[in-house]
Amino acid sequence: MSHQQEVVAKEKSVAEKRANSYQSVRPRVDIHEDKEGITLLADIPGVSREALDIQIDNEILSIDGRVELPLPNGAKEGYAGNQITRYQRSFSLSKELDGEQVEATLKDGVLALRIPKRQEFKPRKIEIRTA
Amino acid sequence: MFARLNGFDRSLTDNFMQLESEMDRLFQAAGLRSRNLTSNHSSQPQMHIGSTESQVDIYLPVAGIDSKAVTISLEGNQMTISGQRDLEKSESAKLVKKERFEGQFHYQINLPDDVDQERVEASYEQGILHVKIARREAAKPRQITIQ
Repeated sequence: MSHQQEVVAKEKSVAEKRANSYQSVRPRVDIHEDKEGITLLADIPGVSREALDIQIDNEILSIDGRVELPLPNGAKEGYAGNQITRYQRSFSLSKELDGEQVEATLKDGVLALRIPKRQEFKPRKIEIRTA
Repeated sequence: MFARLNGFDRSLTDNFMQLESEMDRLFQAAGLRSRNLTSNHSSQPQMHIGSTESQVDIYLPVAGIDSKAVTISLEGNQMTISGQRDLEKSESAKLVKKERFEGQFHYQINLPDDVDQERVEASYEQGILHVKIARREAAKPRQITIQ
């Protein structure tokens, strides 16, 4: 291996080390249920829309968000400890919830997911016909 | 002597050990002393404190608060951050899982002795309270020329 290659390999390993070094957090959630569906609120402070990934696959809802604190000028190695936090949590959705209709909003580090019940599980009012 | 600002934030209930480990880091960064760090594993986001020659930065993760409900004060080298987090209530919905913190929070942080009482800034963005405290010029390392 030439010297040049060695340097490249070394730089890459430092970058990888930084990318793989994070504090893993299971975000705390509140879940509200009403007749029409559920609202899931998760605390993920620092996560921007761009750094948030929400997926539904096979009735598993996954939340994955990442925060990286900025480094000021003059910061040395080890400044403020671990600069990266990763929020990860998964939920299994019950059959009555419609994973196709999820709405997500993010404000001040709180993620709100509105998941409606499937039409057939929503309460229906039965009209009584006059004879 | 006493700078007070209103701003920001609220936070999840961090336990004392976490705060202590952050303080250790601050001391270490400021070159004051070093103790064994407690474990870095945590189920909740931690407060981060970073120090450079010119400033100290505190990052406190506290999602969904009213920044007006937070009080930040600095007396000597001791910073206090306290506030209140109120969660939205719903009449029609049933709470089936409750894990998020609600109520008052309070942090006390020992800063290096050379922090400048007059130059403290705070901002609240995306659920993170950031307090920036400048350090006095005199404390910065100076190059001494030998005559």
